[in-house]
Amino acid sequence: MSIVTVLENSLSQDKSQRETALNFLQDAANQNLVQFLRQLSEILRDVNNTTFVRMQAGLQLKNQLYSKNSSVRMQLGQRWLTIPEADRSYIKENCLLTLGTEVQSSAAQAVAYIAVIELPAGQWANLMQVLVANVVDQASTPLKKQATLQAIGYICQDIDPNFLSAQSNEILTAIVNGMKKEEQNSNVRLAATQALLNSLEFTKQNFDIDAERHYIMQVVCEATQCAETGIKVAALQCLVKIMNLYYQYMETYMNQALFAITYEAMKSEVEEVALQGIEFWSTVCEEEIDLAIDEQESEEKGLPPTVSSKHYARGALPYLVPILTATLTRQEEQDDEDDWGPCKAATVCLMLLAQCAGDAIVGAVLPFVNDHIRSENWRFRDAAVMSFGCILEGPDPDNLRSLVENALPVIIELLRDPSNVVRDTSAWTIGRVLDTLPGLVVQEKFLNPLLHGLVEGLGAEPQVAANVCWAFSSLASAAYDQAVSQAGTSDSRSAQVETYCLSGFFEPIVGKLLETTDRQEAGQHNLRNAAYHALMEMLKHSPRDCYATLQKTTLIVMQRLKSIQDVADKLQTSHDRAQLNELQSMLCATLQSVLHKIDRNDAPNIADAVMELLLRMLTQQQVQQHQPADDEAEQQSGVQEDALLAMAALVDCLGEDFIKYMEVFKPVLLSCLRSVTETQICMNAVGLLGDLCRALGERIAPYTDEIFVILVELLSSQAVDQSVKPSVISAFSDFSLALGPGFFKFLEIVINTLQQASQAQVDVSNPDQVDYLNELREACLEAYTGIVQGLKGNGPTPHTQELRSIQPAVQPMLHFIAMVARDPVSTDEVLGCACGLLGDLVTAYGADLLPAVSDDVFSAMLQKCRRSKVSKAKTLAVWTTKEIRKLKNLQTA
Amino acid sequence: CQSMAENQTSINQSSPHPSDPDAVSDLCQSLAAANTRHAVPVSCAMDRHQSMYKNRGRAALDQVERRRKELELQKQRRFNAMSLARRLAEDDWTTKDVDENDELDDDLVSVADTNETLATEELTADDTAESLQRKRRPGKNYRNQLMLSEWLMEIPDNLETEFLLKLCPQGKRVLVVAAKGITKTFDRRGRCIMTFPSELPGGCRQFRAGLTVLDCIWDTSSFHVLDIMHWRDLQLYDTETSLRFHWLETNFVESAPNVCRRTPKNRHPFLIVESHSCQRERLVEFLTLQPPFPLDGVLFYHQRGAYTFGHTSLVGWLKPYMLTEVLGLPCHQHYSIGLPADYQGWLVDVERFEATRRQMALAYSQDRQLRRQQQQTRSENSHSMVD
Repeated sequence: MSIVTVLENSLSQDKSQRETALNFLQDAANQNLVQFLRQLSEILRDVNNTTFVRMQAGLQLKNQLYSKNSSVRMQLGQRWLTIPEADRSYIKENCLLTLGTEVQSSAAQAVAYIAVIELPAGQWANLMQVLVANVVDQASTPLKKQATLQAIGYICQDIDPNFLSAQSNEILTAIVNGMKKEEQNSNVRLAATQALLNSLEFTKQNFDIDAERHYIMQVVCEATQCAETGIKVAALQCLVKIMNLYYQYMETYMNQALFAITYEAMKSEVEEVALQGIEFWSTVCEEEIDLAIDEQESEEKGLPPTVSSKHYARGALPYLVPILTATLTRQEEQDDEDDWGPCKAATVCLMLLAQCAGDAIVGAVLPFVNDHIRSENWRFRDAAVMSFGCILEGPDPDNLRSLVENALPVIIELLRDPSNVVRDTSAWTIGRVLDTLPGLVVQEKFLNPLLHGLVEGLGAEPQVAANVCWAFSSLASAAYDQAVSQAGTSDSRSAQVETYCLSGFFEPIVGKLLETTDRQEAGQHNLRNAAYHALMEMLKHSPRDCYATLQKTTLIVMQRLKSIQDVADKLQTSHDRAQLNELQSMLCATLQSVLHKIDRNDAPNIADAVMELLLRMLTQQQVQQHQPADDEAEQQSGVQEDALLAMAALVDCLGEDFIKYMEVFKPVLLSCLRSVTETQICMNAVGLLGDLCRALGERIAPYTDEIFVILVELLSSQAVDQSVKPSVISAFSDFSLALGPGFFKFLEIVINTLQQASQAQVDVSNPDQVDYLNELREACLEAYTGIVQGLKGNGPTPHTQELRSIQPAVQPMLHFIAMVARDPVSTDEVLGCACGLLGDLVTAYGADLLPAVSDDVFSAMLQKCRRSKVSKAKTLAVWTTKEIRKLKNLQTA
Repeated sequence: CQSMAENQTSINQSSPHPSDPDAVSDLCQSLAAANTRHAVPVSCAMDRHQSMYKNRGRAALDQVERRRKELELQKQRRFNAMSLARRLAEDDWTTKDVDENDELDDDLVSVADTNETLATEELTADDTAESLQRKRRPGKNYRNQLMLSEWLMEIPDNLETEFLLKLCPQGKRVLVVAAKGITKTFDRRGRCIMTFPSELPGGCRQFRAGLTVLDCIWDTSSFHVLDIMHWRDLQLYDTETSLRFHWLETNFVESAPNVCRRTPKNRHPFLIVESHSCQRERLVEFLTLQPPFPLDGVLFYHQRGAYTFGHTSLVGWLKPYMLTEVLGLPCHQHYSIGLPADYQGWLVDVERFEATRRQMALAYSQDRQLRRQQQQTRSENSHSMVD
């Protein structure tokens, strides 16, 4: 059977024929990949084949080059590169020759997939030349130009910009050539505009040059005036992205063109066009919010800002607000969650504008609110409430106070509006009010009607109920914080609040929320999640006089978890399991939040049962994970993540009493620690280890040998995500503090590890890597601290013998501290840890260390941290300074 | 290690590195080869905006946020554990952390300033073990927190331009700490002497916020404020003396007018001890006036010094009757109070003080040793009885 026939059959109506065909193709690939790919490329190129067959050949070719799974994708790429050069050239040539011979180009994709593999490997160097020639060549057919531009677009979309920036000139030439208004064929123009959209990231060097930038901007602006909607929209998308990437160059164009273009676009009858106009201004706002933050930071550091805000948004405010509020009245009758159109985009734009413009927004929007909040037309009522909700974040809350005070009764009333859209928006707005002016809403005159409105709202349509739940979440903390501040304690976590304004309603609210989580339609609009979240917030923020309800709820939550587990054991389909997993996750998180509130005396009563539930969750999940993984894998790990966090809460709650569970828990813990590919599980297990150390102290000793081996493996494993490693290093400090001198046996390896880890270097131009470096260094400093403190002992006199054993490491520690102190990328958090370690060393080794510690680099660091805004850094620096001065005083005396 | 990091871009194509017997040897590389994450593609802007609509993105976000917060708490618990070891937690009275040698050293240093000599502080008749027990255990936190002077043994060349003078009233030298709604005073060794409300920031239930730390003389009815180290959120330890004094004399009373009065919320008045320029013409004028309170001595502060702990040469001390001789200036008759009949000049007198101090210190340590021996015998006896 020829491959052409097989490809035909692969689209057959007959299922068995189809399967046979697909198996045949798979076999062909397995038996002789090179031969198979060569054949596919021939079929693709041959214009005598049907469109169907050619497309199918292109698809098969793609399947051998690309996968959604990133590690499979890597393997496919490696495999392609092992194919002999001659064969690859043949296949590539066929693909290139196909460009322009199809109506819908599969070849464009094939070219792109190969390019994404070869270009980063430094191969196929002449590709761009060929593609550019295709576009610029007068003789090229429009179809060829279009396909070529599509190929360029795909490449730009998928490749790391670094590999293309060297060729940005060629690429831009091709694209701009296709985009010009002289281009008659609108398909070509569209493909070019879309390609430009994908290439904007790596054309920075062209944007840096005035003449080139002017030209690009001119072509883009012209394209926005094109009559074809597709091209217009793509060109507007380009403007949005350009604004985001090249804000600093926009001043000239803003006045001359961009304002007018986007203003007109926002007013357009065509939804896609209006949407992009609004997105443009949302982006301007976001940029300017960021710049304002940057400016503030630079000012604090005494540096000039690199880019300064031109306050376009504030300037355009009087023009933007009328259009945005008008757009808000164009709601869809039936709201589809996945819809995204001008009305919703206008909401977000107005919110961003408020954050950007601050107080100025209030006067601009308020007339609209007042005029329409009692309108006969629900669209206008909704738009009025919506715009009120939008402007709550940004202006100074004090300036909003009287405004909110007047509007709140109306909005509470609107919770009962005949329109479900209005009810929904009102519930959302109340949540916003609670976040902005929490103290105001919990006043008695508002509280009663509000609670009635909200509780009723829990029974409404899922969408409305979900927004009501979020309002409850905000209300819970608002009410609790009010009680805390009345009790006069600043630290809300240590405070024991006796009662609060919701105490009288606590039980019914919690009951109603529990009911809501059980509603038939709770799966829609995230209602179940929102309800559980509200429940958690209520429980977390409950005063003492609601303890009985909290206890009762704990039992209900445990009961629910148990029955779910019974069901889960019997489930077959992964879809059902995924749903159940999410539910387990929520219940587990709820359990975790009550564990933090349970009295220490009551904890032992439920500990056995909780332990059983959590162990079952952890082991059940492990069984599932060994089954073939599919898309739900992520959600499964969510359950384990939450189970581990709940376990940490239980450990924290039980303290030393947790020891009786260690034997049963150990195997589970070890296997979680070994989950190298499940980053969060691994991370949470490592975190839990810390809590175990603090709770059990020396009694953790019998388990540490085995755990230690795993920790060291984690550190050297390439399979482990980088983010886990700092946590592992920090865990050494927990070990050392718990074991004291018992840590001795691990010392050599740990010190060795720390000395290596503290040398790690990263690319400082990449902010993510700088963050990572700081995290890693903080972990190393913590670990050193743990070791010094642990070995020194807690008694009045340091354990001199143990301390002597790490004496050789003291100098490297000081070097490390100095390195951190000198590095401009060090954050105050890291510097604070460094100060702490310095103080620990000084208290441990005493006056011997004074000469070394007197180095300017240390005093400069201490001084900087004493003035830090980060309270930990400040505390530690002051403490260390005192310790050093004490020693100096003793010495001079 | 460094070269590994530099090679980052080539890591994708590099062959597996040679294996090493040491389990952690490639740690450095594995740590440095951080995955090069791409910047978030800008095409997500619209997705991001979508998640901002009403509470749409909140469920997913909260999930992440909730777990992140929990991990943050774990971190906080670790920090707390470490702080415990550092005795950073305030009011850590319960730990028996008094290192006796350390304590003795504290007292062996000059006793020149104030009349708070060893005699009054350590060897009073009632200072038995029980009375020590009655006083609360000294907290390490508040021990040795005061800046103490040294005898002024010679007149600095730059006295007139660089020094400030303060009269020191008779009384007990104390550290005043107002925090978390209560005001406490500590003696030099960190023992809490008094607890009361004051209107200092942090000093009473109505003014819980902020922290005040003052260096004072307590004359059994009022506090005379010599120096200020912390006010509300403002750390002054590192500021120069001239600035601290300026701050004390201008902002202190202004921002808390009631602290100099006796009210239910401010049980003891805080009176500011003013500083004076050491310029000759100013001193002539000032020293001929009657001092505002019974004097213990006169302090000379170097303007540029920070507030340090323990003795410093940047603060000099003289008895009032030495002034005329040392400065060569006429003084009001009250400055001569306490002039010894056999006064032979300032340097001789200082030596007399120092000799007394050494004797006292010796007596003190002998006495302490004796007491310790007695205690030991007592406890040995009691042990043998149990046995």
